[in-house]
Amino acid sequence: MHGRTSVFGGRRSRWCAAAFALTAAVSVAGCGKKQQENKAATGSGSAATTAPPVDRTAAVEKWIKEFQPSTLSHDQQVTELKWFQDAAKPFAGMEIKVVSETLTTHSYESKTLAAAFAELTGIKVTHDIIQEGDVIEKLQTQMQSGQNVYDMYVNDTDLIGTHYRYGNAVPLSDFMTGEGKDVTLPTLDVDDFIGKKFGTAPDGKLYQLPDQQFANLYWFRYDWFNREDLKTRFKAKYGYELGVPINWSAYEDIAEFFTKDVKELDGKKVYGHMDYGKKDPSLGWRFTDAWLSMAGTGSKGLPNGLPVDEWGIRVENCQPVGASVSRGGETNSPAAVYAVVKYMEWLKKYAPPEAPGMTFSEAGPVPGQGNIAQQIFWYSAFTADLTKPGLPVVNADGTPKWRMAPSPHGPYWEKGMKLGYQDAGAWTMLSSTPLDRRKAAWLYAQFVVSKTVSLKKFFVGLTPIRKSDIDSEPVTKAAPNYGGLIEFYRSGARELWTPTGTNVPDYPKLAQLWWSNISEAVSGAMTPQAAMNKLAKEMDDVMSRLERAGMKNCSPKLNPEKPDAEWIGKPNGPKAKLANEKPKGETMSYEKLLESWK
Amino acid sequence: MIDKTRNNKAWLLILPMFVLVAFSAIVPLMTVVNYSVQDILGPNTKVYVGFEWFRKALRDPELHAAFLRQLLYSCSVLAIELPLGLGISLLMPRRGWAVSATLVVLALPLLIPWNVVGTIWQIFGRTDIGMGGAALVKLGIDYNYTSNRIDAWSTVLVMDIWHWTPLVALLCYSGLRAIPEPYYQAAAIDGASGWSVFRYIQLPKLKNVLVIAVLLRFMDSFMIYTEPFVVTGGGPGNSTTFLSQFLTRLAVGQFDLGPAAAFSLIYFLFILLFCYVFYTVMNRVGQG
Repeated sequence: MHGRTSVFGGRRSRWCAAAFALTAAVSVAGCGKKQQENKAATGSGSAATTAPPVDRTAAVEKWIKEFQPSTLSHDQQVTELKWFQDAAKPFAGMEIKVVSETLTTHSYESKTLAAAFAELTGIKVTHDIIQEGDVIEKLQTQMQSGQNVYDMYVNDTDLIGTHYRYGNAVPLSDFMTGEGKDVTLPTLDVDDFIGKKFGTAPDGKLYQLPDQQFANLYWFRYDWFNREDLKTRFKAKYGYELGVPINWSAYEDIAEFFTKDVKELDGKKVYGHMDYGKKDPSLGWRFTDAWLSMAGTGSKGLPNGLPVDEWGIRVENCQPVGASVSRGGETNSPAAVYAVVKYMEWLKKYAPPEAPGMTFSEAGPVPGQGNIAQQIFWYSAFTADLTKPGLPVVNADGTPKWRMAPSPHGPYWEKGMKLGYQDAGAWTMLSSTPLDRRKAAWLYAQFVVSKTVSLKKFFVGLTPIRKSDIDSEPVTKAAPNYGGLIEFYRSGARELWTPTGTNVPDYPKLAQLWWSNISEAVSGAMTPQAAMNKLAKEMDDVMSRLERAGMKNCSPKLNPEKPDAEWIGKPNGPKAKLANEKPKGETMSYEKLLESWK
Repeated sequence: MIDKTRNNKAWLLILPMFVLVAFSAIVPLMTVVNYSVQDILGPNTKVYVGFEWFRKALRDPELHAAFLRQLLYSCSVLAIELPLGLGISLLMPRRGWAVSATLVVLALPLLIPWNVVGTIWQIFGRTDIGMGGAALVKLGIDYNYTSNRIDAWSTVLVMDIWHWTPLVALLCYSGLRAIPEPYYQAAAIDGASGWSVFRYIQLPKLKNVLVIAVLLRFMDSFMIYTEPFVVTGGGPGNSTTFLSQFLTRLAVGQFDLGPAAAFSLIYFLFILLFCYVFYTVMNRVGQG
């Protein structure tokens, strides 16, 4: 496995510190004079012993050239950067460590923005980039040991329910007005963040500040969908136009059409669907990232259904009361089982034969190879990868042959429900980190999301966080190259795409249950109903343990079990099985869809 | 009788080793024991649960299935790799440049990191881009290790045989090279057949080497994690989910320290018990 931190990490780090101190004590006699000279030259702390003196005023102008385009004027950028320099003075020379998952946006932060910040402020930043699962593991290590592992984390807002309930995360709203007031950027403009509500807990406080954001959308080959021969054949067979599917029936028809009827285009085998099914933690994301809500599992409510969310967890007065139908939840409800059945059916019937053996990261680049007609569950974080010149899905002029559009919904879905997943990797601060380190890390976190930097960062990673960036002129000019990404983010529709919500009391423990149980259904070892029954029971078991241990806020309090019939079909209860789960397919032309977004 | 003066200062000499063992083994083991009787959800959220995790682990049908799967896997590995490794060692050249060449070729799979071995076989077995998988499909065999349980099992087993049989072969080869030449000369004078030489000279002389090979391969295969995790992820379903994967999901994925600690102690005790029984039996056989 990847480099893991031992559960004894805290103790080990103290031993390392002792050993380091001993080594340092031996060497200090020889280096002392040189250190003093360096310190005098730069006026900063220990980091200055290894770094040459830096002209911080010149650094402002140097980095402003890098941070173009920007929604700020040159003078506003100078003012913002000088504020960082002034606020960072008490921490100059400090070395801080932060961590985030492997994404282009974070690589840019780690390689470029961390260096810029160090040059501008004198605070040296180690910005580690590791796999998402490993970020959670480090976070868990710090949460469970109480020892500082990283000074701040870029952690998905999927964990908002966890952070709020355990009380380990510092409410940023309080920090910004309290102990961190002197290090909070006056022009941070929290209301400008499109994912602000994702990081806000039931108490109304902001716990996580978005750093990058991407959505899970429908992806299709715009060029193929506009071919007259294919449109005619499709209409002749299904009785309606080939277009962006509005419901799952249409998606299924289009998948069948390309895989079974069209079969080959330009001498190449084509498929009407792409997905993945290897037994792997990423199989869990495939479901916990809102798949069930797209089918129609859960209640109405944004950003997440209340009282029942898309995981099927029921909450009453902010306390989770159960996931099983017998406790009022929906994890093993007819709608949830339908979602799993369709996932399996489409994967086996319409996707390439190797897809069931793929993981998330293996399946991601496949649409770029040019033989996939559509994908219902496509992460817009792949936009940059699928717009590279020379790919079979990119035109000679650099514009994509594909488009993204809202995901179709299943038969159980109703207006007022969320329709897909949107993730915000967000800056998270734990109370077990010493205050001075938190302050220094907070300065860095604000720097990488500041208006001075954010538009440039958007063009590098295509993961927008600020409304001001999305509405800006440079983005308008670049929009045709991004296959509908900008149009989506400018539309009100984006409100229907949200992360895992506050109903989930312990994301790491509960998320792990999904992939192991779903894979049993995929292999045929269990029926989808049996797999979801087992999953719901295991989720209830974890929540009963949380209830026994007690959590700081809104601890679970499970409902007593009742016969399913007492819950199913009742107002705000799990939905009853539909007599017809395949209504007539509905599609819409892409152009009309764009119009409806304006 | 001469009175010897007892000098307890000698104990100080073993103190550094005692401290080292305490920090590397005893303290971590006791920490695991401590965790195994608690439900740990955070530094301030711990509940004493007694033997609840042990009871649950021992009654968990998924764990029982993983245990049986693991046992079957280790037995299959031993049943194939030992005779195969021994056979290869008997066929290996004894002099000349061919000795070095054979040793290098045999050692190659052992030098490859485990996750790379998994990746090699994951690609090799694919029916679209993998040589092995595509060849089987061309031959008309309905092979797909991602969806068929038997194919998945076979792939993981063949991968292990490819990876670790060379170790058994090299161990046996070193044992064979250590048999003094006069034994063979005496057998030749007596007109002993090749089988008799193997049965009455080589096999008895290889006993200690084979004990080591069995122990190493059993313990390694019983703890196998990386290769099957990379190739199949434990699937399809749970068909290639072994005990270590079960434990990793609990301990690392869910960070569920209490149940994971109880499970790892059961796992540890089983391996300890097996090693003790095996060692005792082999000792008695040796004395007999």
